[in-house]
Amino acid sequence: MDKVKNGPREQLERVVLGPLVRTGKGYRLLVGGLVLVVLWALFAYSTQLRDGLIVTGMRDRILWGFYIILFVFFIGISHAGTLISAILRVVKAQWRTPVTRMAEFITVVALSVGGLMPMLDLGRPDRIPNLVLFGRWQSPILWDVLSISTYLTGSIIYLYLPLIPDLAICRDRLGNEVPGWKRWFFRVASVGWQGTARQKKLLSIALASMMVLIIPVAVSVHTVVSWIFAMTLREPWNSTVFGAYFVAGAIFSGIAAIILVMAVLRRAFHLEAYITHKHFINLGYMLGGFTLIMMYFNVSEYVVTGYKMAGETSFHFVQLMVREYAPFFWLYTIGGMVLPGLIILFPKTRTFTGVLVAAGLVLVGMWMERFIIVVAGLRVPLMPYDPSWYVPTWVEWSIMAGAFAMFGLVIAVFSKLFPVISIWEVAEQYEEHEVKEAPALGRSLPATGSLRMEPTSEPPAEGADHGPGGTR
Amino acid sequence: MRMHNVRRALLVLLPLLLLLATGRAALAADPADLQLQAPQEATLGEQVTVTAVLRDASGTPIVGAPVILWSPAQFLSTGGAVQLGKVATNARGEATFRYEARTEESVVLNASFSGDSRYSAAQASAQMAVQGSAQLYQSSAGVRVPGVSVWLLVGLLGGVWGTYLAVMVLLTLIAREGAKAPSRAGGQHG
Repeated sequence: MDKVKNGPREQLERVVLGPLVRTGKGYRLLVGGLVLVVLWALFAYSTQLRDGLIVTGMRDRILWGFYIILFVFFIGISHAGTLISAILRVVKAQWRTPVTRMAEFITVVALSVGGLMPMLDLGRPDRIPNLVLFGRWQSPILWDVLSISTYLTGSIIYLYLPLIPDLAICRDRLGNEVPGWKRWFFRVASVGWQGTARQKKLLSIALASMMVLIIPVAVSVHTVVSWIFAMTLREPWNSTVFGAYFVAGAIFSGIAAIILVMAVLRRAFHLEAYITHKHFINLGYMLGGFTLIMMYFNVSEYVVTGYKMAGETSFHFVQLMVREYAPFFWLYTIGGMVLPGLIILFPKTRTFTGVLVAAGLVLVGMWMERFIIVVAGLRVPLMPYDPSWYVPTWVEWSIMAGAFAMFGLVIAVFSKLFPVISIWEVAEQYEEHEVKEAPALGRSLPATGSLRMEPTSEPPAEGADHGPGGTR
Repeated sequence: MRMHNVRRALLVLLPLLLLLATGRAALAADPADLQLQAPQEATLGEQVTVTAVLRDASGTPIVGAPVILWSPAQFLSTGGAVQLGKVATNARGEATFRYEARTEESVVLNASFSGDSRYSAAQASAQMAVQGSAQLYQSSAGVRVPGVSVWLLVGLLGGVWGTYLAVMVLLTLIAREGAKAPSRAGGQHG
């Protein structure tokens, strides 16, 4: 046991628990800045609430704008977490352990921010209860409400379950290092976790159930989001592959979001020893794979509809490829798919920085993709009238900035409440390696961290030496 | 030259003569009597028969005359007459309309005959109180597949939320187990 106390596990705990007890000036400045942006967005929204949707660029012909674009964008990013984390857990990818927690964070935060967007899109938010009170089962809007609330609940559970052993570590290790309310929180949230054999077994069953269930739930969510469009009689949205296309796009942008958030947290909390370049390269491979899938969907969609050129398709193709929305379309196609794909393809550019650049391009590209789906799709006239324009106003720009600030803010606050890396999973993995390659492991772990730990005074309970078992 | 002048005079006079003749006919049109028969009450969604009867002053049916049924309507700041139907009168001078009451209100129905060369224009009104709260629009599935219904969705959702509930039960068992086990601060947690 002495070896464990002074070994990699203790170092890991020091580094990962450090941010929970120390708050730097940079963090306060960041949070302050984000709060200001969110407050500005609230002011913008109060203007919209007072004067109505006339303060936005949305009108009767192009009736959706930034809010619905952001809704699709954030719901897409939310797939990062739960889906990717669950898939990696199911296939038992060993390198996943330092990544999954952040991915699960992103899901819950992105879903919460994304779920707010349709409410902002309503001119009369007081009518939201009508969706439930007078909703019809036949309406994709109601399916959306049901699937998103189901996914959000599932994601919170799925985030919480693997947190329990880590919350117990916080409860037992941090002691007086944290304020009283945090101690109370860790005590309550760790639900009396002692790491007994029976607790581990129960947790394993719960996690196994959730990781299998959350994958179809996540897939259904973005499929239903796509049906909001595909089940509307609009020429550019008449597609049977919209569901699969949206799910692929969601995972694609989700991986990009994980890469960027992970890079920021890694730098901010000095997690370089645990989140290595290898993790970024592996996620880069996933990004590259999804680049190809997205290209395939795009080629399939545009070639089939373009070959037939039925109805208003020619109008849509012209505005998309050579006229009004050509910059958005080509930025998405070249910048958001081809270029990231090439960066990942060549070993010379497939580096830590290269993966970050590719992820950034993908996120910008996928935002553009949602813009052209929503705005260019609605611009195709339904009747013989002049095509309209959508020009977002300061209110919409402000609320969009607020949405991104809110996303960053919640993640920042989250990182002060919970360990951003799953300590027990990483430790378990290291301990497995330790058995095989003890000398090499000792060199690979960081010897940093100023966190004071409470001494271990009591022996572990019976059956407490192993993780929840083979299911993870 | 003389012939040319005569032609010119005829070209001017002929239309005048025609105008005079038709004007005279209009002036000489007989009065027409239009009556509208509609039920005083109807249930929402009920199809009622509305009959307009057109007769001349002596009570003789006017046959083959077009009668329009209309109702005044208001939408936002715009108002106007909504034409509900146009039917020619039969041998008994009757124009029969089928009208479906789709709004719970007191409906004003109007019948109009715009007049012709023999009869002058006529109009009649009737009021009908529509009551009820039936759901009028009933959507129907294009293809009904046995077993595919809202219950399938309910079943799927029930399965998912049931699993969540089961996980919550497992959490309570974990908490109960923790309460039984001795506290071991600083021990292994993984």
